[in-house]
Amino acid sequence: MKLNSATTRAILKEGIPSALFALKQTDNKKKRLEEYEIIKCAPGEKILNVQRQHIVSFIIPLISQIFITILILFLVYFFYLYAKNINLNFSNTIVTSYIVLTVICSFSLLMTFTFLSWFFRFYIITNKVIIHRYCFRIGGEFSETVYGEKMHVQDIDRVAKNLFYDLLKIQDVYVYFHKLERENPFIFSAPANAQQIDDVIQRLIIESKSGQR
Amino acid sequence: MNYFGLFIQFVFITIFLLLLCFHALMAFSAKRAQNQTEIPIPQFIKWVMLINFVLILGSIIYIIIVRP
Repeated sequence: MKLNSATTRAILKEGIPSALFALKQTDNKKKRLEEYEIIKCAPGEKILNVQRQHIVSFIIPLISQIFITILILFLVYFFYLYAKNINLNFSNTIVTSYIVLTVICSFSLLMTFTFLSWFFRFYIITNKVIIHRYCFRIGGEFSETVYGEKMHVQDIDRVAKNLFYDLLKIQDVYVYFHKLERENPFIFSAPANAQQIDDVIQRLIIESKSGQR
Repeated sequence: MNYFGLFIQFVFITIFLLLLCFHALMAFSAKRAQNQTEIPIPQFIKWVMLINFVLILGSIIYIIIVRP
């Protein structure tokens, strides 16, 4: 741990807890998503914004998977209690243990898959393109790309999917293009920061209109 | 010889082998995504995947040894 000027100032001004917080920040300096080479940029192209989906997009499926697993385990337990009184050709305790192991392993795999799907799914905005890249796929990479030079943005809209997302201020961003160029809007589905995406695209539109892109 | 018990063992071993194949595909896809994006997979997920692998393998051994 390094004692730098920011830490010294924190100790003198606000005491030890602030200094510890400053030390922790220095140690845990992580790269921003924009600093990773997620896509290969063309000459003159630079990455303006990279976002994942909001963490709630991962947490809600995880919670529902947990509930379904618990429900299935309860059903298996009730089946076990019911089958205790029936004379079967096999040991129902052992078969129940097989079923429980299957459910637990399946849930564990599904949880890992859900996390990795969220972790490697990006919305990327450069000064030339808008990309939706889904890097973790069993069947190969998926990428939806819209080239800014060929498409003209007509409208940007932010809409919450449902009341719960609205309360958490999680919004989808719809980018509409001229109907002849692209009929369907490009959708940023529950991004981490919808406002930031809106601002970046608005800035790109202004720059392109003033001929600065 | 309890043929029905053997059949149950066979079914569950098949299920777990399929889960093992899915796990291998998932690990391969995660590694590929990491190489493409240069974003490292979080350490805790690596541990979770290792635990998954041990769990599946252990379950297969358990099913083979413990007969219904």
